[in-house]
Amino acid sequence: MEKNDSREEKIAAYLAGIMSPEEKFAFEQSLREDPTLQLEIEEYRKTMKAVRGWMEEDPPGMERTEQLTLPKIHPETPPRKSSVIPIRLIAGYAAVAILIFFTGFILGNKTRFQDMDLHTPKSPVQVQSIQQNVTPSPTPHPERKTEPDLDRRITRENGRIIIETSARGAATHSIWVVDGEFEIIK
Amino acid sequence: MNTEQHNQNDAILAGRAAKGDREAFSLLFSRWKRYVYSIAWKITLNEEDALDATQEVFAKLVSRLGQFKGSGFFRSWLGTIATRETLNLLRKPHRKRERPLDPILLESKGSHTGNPRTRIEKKEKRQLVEKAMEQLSPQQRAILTLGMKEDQSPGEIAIALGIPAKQVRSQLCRAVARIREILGTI
Repeated sequence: MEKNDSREEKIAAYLAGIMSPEEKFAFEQSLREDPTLQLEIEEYRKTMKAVRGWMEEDPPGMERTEQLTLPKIHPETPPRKSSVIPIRLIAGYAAVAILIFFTGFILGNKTRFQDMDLHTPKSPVQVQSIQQNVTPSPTPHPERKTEPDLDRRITRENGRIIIETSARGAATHSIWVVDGEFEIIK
Repeated sequence: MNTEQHNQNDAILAGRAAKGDREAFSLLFSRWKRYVYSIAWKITLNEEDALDATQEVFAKLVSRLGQFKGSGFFRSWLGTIATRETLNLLRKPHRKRERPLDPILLESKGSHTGNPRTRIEKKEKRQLVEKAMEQLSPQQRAILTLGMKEDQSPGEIAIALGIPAKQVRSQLCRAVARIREILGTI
């Protein structure tokens, strides 16, 4: 019972036997001290008795249940094997296929671009190593030697590797484009 | 035969009926149709609706008998299904309207033995209770029926009707308080 329940609801809860032991103890204490509450309880008891009596009585029209028909009952049959492929099975196969595809894709890329992070600037030694091992397109300047004081930027665009170098403090700026198939030779 | 033996018999019959034994289902139907009708009538207060609900309960029971575990009492289990199905029926649109209680039927039911004065008083009291019950919602009548006719606890009623136990307690208290209020003024 809630604290804000009405007096009537508390009486009803008490008589219905649905009070907690603490609530019951507190209610019985106030019952001993309040003669009006005792009278109310007696009135409620009569009501509850009348309702219980009504509940126990046969309702009108009971004899009409003889007109009811027995529903049809079918012998238990073993469940038929469905010819339709369950959607869970299809989803499972699809998940496995996707997993295999992505695993292959990731492993393939890992082998191909191992040690080659195209977005992070490399140290001069690493860049030099990459430059020495890629096959350059016909446009670059093969005579230009890699100097330790060069600024280098390597980016990837539309499947091509673009290596930009420029000497610090100078106006010269070189671009190497690696197109087509390439691989890193260690 | 005591209640425990009856329940064992019902459990056996339910098991056989679940496997398609028509005779077993017929025995259960004969034994329990009046009980189901009685519960349905206490909630609907209408013969036609109560008969429809009883027919519906047994139609549903055909497929649900396999769910009866046999550990509890068949009567409580069936009472819960009857209450739930009756409430479902009352929620359906185009159902038959509640109609005033037939005084001839009310007079014809019950025992005709004993003091005529006592009998008249008893009849009047019953009519008063029925008038009070008409003022309650079907859910409140269902809660009262399970609580006062079937002696189920608020927790058990909550599970049976699929509503919180707190709501059962408050509805029960309000229903009793309302009946007392109506009986006090009629």
